[in-house]
Amino acid sequence: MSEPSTFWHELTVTALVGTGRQPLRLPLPGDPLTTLLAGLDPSNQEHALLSAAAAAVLYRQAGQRPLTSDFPSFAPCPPDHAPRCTPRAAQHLALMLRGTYQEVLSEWLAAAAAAGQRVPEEHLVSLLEAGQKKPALRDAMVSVLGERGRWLAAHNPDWEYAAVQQEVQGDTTSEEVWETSNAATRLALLQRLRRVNPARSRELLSATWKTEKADDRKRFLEELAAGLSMDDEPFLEGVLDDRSKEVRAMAVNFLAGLPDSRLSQRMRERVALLLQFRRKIVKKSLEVTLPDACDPEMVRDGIIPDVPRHIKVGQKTWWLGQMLGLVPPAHWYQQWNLAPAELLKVALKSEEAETLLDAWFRAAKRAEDTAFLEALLPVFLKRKDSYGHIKVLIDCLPQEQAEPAMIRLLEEEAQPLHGKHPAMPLLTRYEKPWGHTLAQKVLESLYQRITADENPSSSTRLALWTFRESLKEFALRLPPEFVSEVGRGWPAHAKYWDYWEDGVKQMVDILNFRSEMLKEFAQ
Amino acid sequence: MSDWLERRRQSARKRAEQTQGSPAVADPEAQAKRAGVRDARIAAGLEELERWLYDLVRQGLAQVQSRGNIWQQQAARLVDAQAPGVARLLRNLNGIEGSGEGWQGRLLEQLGKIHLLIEGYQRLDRLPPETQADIRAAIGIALKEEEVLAQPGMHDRWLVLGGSVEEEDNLKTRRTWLWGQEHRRPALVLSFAYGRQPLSSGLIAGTLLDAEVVFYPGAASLRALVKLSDTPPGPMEPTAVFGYPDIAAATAAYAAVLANNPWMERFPMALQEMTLVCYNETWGVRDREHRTLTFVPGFAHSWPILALSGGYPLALAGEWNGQYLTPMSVWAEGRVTPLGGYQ
Repeated sequence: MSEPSTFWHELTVTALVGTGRQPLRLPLPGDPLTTLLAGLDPSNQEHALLSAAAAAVLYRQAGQRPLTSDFPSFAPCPPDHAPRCTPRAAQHLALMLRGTYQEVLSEWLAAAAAAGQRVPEEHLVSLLEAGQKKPALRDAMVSVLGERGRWLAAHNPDWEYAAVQQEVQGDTTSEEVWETSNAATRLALLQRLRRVNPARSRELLSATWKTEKADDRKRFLEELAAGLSMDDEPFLEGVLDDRSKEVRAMAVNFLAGLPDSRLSQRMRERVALLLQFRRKIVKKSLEVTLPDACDPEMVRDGIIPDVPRHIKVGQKTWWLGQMLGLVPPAHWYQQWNLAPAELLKVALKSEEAETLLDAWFRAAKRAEDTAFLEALLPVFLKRKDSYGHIKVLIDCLPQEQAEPAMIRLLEEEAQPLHGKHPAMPLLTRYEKPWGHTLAQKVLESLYQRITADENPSSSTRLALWTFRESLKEFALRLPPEFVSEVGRGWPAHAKYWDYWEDGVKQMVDILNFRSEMLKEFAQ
Repeated sequence: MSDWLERRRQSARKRAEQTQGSPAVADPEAQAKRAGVRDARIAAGLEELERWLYDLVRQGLAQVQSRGNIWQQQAARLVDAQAPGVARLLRNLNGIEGSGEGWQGRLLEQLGKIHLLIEGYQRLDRLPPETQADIRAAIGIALKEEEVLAQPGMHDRWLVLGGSVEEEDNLKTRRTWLWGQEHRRPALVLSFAYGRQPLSSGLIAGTLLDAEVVFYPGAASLRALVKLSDTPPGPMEPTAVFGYPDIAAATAAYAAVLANNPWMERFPMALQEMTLVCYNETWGVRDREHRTLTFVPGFAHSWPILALSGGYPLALAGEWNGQYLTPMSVWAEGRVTPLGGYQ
């Protein structure tokens, strides 16, 4: 083909500069193509050029042989043992990946993982792309990707987050990944290792600790929260001398969460004499002594000497509050043989009641002392302006304790739900599936709200709108068994039904979808 | 072939605009007169285009780079001259000058083929009837579906290979490729929808259609219409082998059709036992002889194909344009997966 391709080159050059400037030279007859071209009439140069072009191009296109190449192929993926989800479940997934009901996606992933099923091959790319955009989905994706998904991810740097799971198996590779990868991959590696081999994760972390940037140290240290144990204590004790204030504070927090840590012991010794429980015949009381000084050892253990400007307490009270916040309340109520509620009752009578309440709130949260947190809930529910505390309590408490608190709020307020209802911040923050009673109460309240006939364009417009917008979120928490109940019986006769109709319909649609979706995993 | 798109685009638009279909009064004399007027207009339009092309070549293609989209105006003239197929070919030239190294060669190829079409039309009387039909089709001269359906058909079990959906000027065109199991030849079925009309041909990738198919006239015609079939489409047997065993056989079939119809733009290739390969972000498939076809640059579904393959050989069907393959469906994991917008 060398002759025709040389001729083709000449032809394009002539065409480029124009036959007006460079006359066309037709080839001598030889092969079938040149024989044909040699027969063209050179007196009409343009005609000859275009005709030659057509002939040459067709000659080439019809005669071309496909190239042989050594382009690399892909090493085959190991077989998948988990079954694919059902075709209908795959359709649900595809719908969400295209954007419809996408807020339900994490529930699908969890349901598929619980059923031990995997995503069919044709949806893996969309799912990996979704995980690329939304890191929050990644944990739930791990098992449903299957061998095929992780294999696929290993071939695309954008999906490294999913592929890294595979590489973590062997320890030598993990070292290499840890030392050479970008921050996101290293983080994913650490997360994974932390779960399967915490000692190894600590080893990697401490090997490079001194050379990491403060932001990375902070991010990596956060990962120790999962499965924190006394094995981490020596490393964390060292981090108390870190250069970064934030990193030090994190280490303090972790060490305070380990009752046997050296920091916890030192802290207990410091406060031992500051709280004294007095039991007279009928009267119980708590005597509080303020600390005298804040020495460098205390500062190393996380006590901040100066009172921040926005906090209006004395300096010594400030020190006390910080120290008590690092000692679990159980230390006191067990020592004095009191029920959590009894300790709180005595504490509330003390002069430093506010400081104690706040410190123990933090300490109990860290210690996940649900007995104490439960005792704290009625205290905060009685107070004004403690939504922040209540929200945290609701999140920390198990369902049996959190939901009654919300139900109580719903019952105590005369008004049905709206955006400024005291139960609203809790309901919107509470991201666990709702129990039947709570769901029932919320739906009843919604019904009352719609039939309250309050003009949505009145001054309460914003409050009503916020509530209506929350219905979509509520639909994600309602029990799927409620689907038939929620689907009917709405007050279409209500004066402002028009205003509520779309919101209610959306809620019903989402619940319907969830119910259908979960059925596919029910067998 | 795709000149038919142009024709259908116009007729679909007309259909959509008219609330009632125009009364088709059969008046052979008036029809012949209209055809005569049309042929004269086409001849005049092509002659003008030929002169313009000669000017272009005389002054050199280099000027194209500085003059912007010079094709649009010519295309409009050819629409007026009732040669919408040629108009579309001209519109497709837009942007070649900016397509990087070798653009002049790619432009010259297309100009050569347009010129060949003009030449062909000018000596239409002296050509065999099949070639005449191909030329008329390439120019965009409409044939009525009834006329086509009146011709004898080809009965076969047609496997739906898949296809593509394109949208231009609010007209959606769906190309569906079929493969005749016994006759071992492809057929192309087009369907059109204007605006928000639903687009459906009832042809689902991976199904088998026991039906008679009528090809449009032409030397190696691909375009066809499906005659109504009594048998509903069924699934393909999982063991059925279709298409070409390797790349050499597929390109040989392509060359045979191209030799008969130089204006063919797309050719369907159903290929067995293909291994997906990738080098420097260029994707393609390779057969056991290591012959390789590369996917069209910017093809968006290489990753889904990789996901379906798992690194093992698979069967796939695609459109071949003489240079690149555009995959349209994949046979793997015991099922067919259409790619892109085709359902």
